[in-house]
Amino acid sequence: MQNAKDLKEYRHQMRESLDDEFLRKTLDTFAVAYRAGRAGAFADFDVAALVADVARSKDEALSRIDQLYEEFKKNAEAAGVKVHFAKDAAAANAIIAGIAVENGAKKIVKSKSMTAEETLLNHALEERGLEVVETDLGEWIIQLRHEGPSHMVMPAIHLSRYQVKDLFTDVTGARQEADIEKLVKVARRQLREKFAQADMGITGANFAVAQTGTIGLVTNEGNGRLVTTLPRIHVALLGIDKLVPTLSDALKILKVLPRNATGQNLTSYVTWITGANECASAEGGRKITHFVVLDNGRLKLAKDPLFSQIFRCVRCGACANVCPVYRLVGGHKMGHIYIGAIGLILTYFFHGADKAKNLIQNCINCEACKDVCAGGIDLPRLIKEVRARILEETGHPLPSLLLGKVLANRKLFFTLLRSAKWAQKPVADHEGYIRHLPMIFSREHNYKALPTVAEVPFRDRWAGLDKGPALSRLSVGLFSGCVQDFVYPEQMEAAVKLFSAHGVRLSFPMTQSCCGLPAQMMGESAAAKEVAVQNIRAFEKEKVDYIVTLCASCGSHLKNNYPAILSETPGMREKALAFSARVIDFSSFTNDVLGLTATDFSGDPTPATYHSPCHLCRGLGVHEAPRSLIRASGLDFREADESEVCCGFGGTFSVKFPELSAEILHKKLDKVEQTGAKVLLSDCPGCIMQLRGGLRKRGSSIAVRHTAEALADRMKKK
Amino acid sequence: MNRPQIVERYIRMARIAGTVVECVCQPDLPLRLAEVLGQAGEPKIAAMSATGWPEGFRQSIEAIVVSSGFEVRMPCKDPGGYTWDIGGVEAASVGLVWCEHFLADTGSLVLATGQGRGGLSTLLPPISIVLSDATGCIEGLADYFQQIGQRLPSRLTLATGPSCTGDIEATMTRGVHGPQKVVHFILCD
Repeated sequence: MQNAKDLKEYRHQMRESLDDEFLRKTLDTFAVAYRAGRAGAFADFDVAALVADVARSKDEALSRIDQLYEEFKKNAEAAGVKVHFAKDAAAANAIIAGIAVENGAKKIVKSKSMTAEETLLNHALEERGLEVVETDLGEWIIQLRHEGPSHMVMPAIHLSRYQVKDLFTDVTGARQEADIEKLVKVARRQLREKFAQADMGITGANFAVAQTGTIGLVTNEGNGRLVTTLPRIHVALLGIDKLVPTLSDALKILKVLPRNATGQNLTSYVTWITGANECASAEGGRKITHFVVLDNGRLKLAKDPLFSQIFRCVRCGACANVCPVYRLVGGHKMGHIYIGAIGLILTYFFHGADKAKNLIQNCINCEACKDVCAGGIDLPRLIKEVRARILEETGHPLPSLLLGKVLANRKLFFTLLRSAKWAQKPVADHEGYIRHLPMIFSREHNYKALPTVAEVPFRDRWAGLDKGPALSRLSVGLFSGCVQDFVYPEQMEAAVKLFSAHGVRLSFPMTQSCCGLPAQMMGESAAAKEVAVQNIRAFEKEKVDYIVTLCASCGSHLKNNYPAILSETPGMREKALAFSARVIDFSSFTNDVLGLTATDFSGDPTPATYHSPCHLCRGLGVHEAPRSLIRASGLDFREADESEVCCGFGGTFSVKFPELSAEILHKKLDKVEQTGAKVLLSDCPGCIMQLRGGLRKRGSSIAVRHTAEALADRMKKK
Repeated sequence: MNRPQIVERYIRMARIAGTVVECVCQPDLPLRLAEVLGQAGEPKIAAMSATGWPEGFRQSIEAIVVSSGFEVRMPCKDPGGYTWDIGGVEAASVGLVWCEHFLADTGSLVLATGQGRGGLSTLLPPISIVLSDATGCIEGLADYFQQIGQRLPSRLTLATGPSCTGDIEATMTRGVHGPQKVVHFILCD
């Protein structure tokens, strides 16, 4: 449970996690195994169609959630269950405690429920003198250690077998061995007694079916079956968002949940409970069964046009499994109670801005979570929106405010960048790098060499460049983004050389500005909106077929985010859609539109590898185009392991969390070096800055270049 | 898919999930069952569901179990109640039930509740032995729901492979609360 009072303390806590070698090794191993397992489980399916199906089903349920609740209640009660509505966490806990007291229950066994974690149910019951024992192995372990879960599916993944051995030795009073199978048997023996003695069992629910009044429990261990069978009372606590209309909707969830959570086709047990079990000895011939349906702000949020999508979440934990930050620091630093990308958002809504304010900063915006979300939730966008909301509530910190102001003022921004050329002189070396950073930054930021600002930005070179044939049928407007304009203008020049030589008519609107992504990442929504409008207007006059960018992050932001952030700006919605429809990344344009092939290039088969920028492979869904071009250029292409995993840059993320950025970068560079490549290519200046700076610090001879540069150099003369 | 193809798919998926599946013809069943029982550890106690078996079948299975040296017990002293014979349950090294339906697309057993149906016999002992007829194999849960309409039993469990956990070091380990081994005999012609 993350509860740092400010960002400084939060970063300090994360450094502790970075020092936990066991944690990092375990999460690393799991992350790799998870990807393979998930891919195998979905091998025979159209994943996008399944996800869309779940999203539709959940959205439809949410649109008439009140009606579904009434239907669920009616059907469940007709089958002998008492259904309660709890407005908030305290009400839910009070209802459950009341059921225990009313029925003389003293001993309670529980199966894993994130909703019960949300309401802090165990504490509430224990305060009333009730004994509550978690029976999911991981939950039992963390309960004994008085900790919260560090993963929604594997709550004790942060602990080693040795720590569990010591814990079980204390609990049993007998010396235990650090052997996982034996430790599991210890838990089995200890908990069997608890099951047998319990009066009441508490579960959550993975889904609830209005049509039949059924709840479904998706488990692997079998404790859920025991908790709902052995005690004479069963209470299920579920969020109202778990309601779906029909059995058929529940089946859709069941198809994706285990595959996405653990790479299983189905978990070991799925239990469908429809009404109170027949029970000859119980009063009325049926087991005492209660379903407590929790609101806790869900009904209000269900009406929010943007955030209602969070209720598509099926709590599979996949967003944590693929998160490069989670993989480094684990769930205790990546969540308050709910973990991972969805946890960052839910913390704000369920536990407040104070609990969320640090966590919400800790997203690198790599979009890996969105890519695997079982409900198709646009998690990166929602995280940015929560940041903006928190800033609105708590006030904008000065650096964020200044960045927003500067980015929104194109002339001021460019003047500052131009003046940086002079300001950097005392610290610049002769190879285009900053020699040393001011002391306050150097300790944490010295994991990579930083480039200097270019002597002449791209916009000042434009006039002297070949802009292609004036009468060409194919016209392109170039969007440079600030890094390629002011730091790496040679990348833009390479594209100009390549395109003009292949008959493309080029233009470069001078009134274009930063794409606005840094402002949006900082939560400066107004500034992000303002620069979006500036850029759309800059390209309005250019009657071009395509707007090409060599920066994957700019490309993804222009194409995906502009229509969303301007959807409510009067007169801009249609313009944003028309603008984004013309945006295309460099590799897709070169490969798919220009159609360049091996006959267009020549050169030595130098070993080369590729880093897929997050915003290219996930943001824009481009995988094959750059690889196809690299092969066509005659380079000896070697795919690196995890080539689509983030490099650790993340724009402002690397400034806020340099320790994390450095660790992610080191992993990436190890994998690059393992390929034996002499050249590392990429399609994003931010990634190139990170990768080049990291390799330079390592003293590596691997050259890092933009794909455009490699292609322009190997282009056959026409 | 025709019946043999459906059964074949079930076998493939159940084996992926870790179930030991064997198609046997009825005359071979006593021998195969006795062999599996022979591999079970001590003590020789079997928890066996009271109902849910095809007519007369329970008795013949019980006879095989008894002749293999096992004492047969019900996991619950008071069927339908909550007085659990924990000693007896802990002592049982195998549980035996009849399973009417099983699902090809996930390799799952469909275990419905009912008085004496012995759901816990598939959960509490370390070895779970399940018997079915090949005609009980259906493609998926949607087909099962279609067959039964909306008349769901109060408890319906899909059991897919042994009980397992990855809660210590994300290492998959079998048999945490339920069986470590699931053996499914499918009676085929």
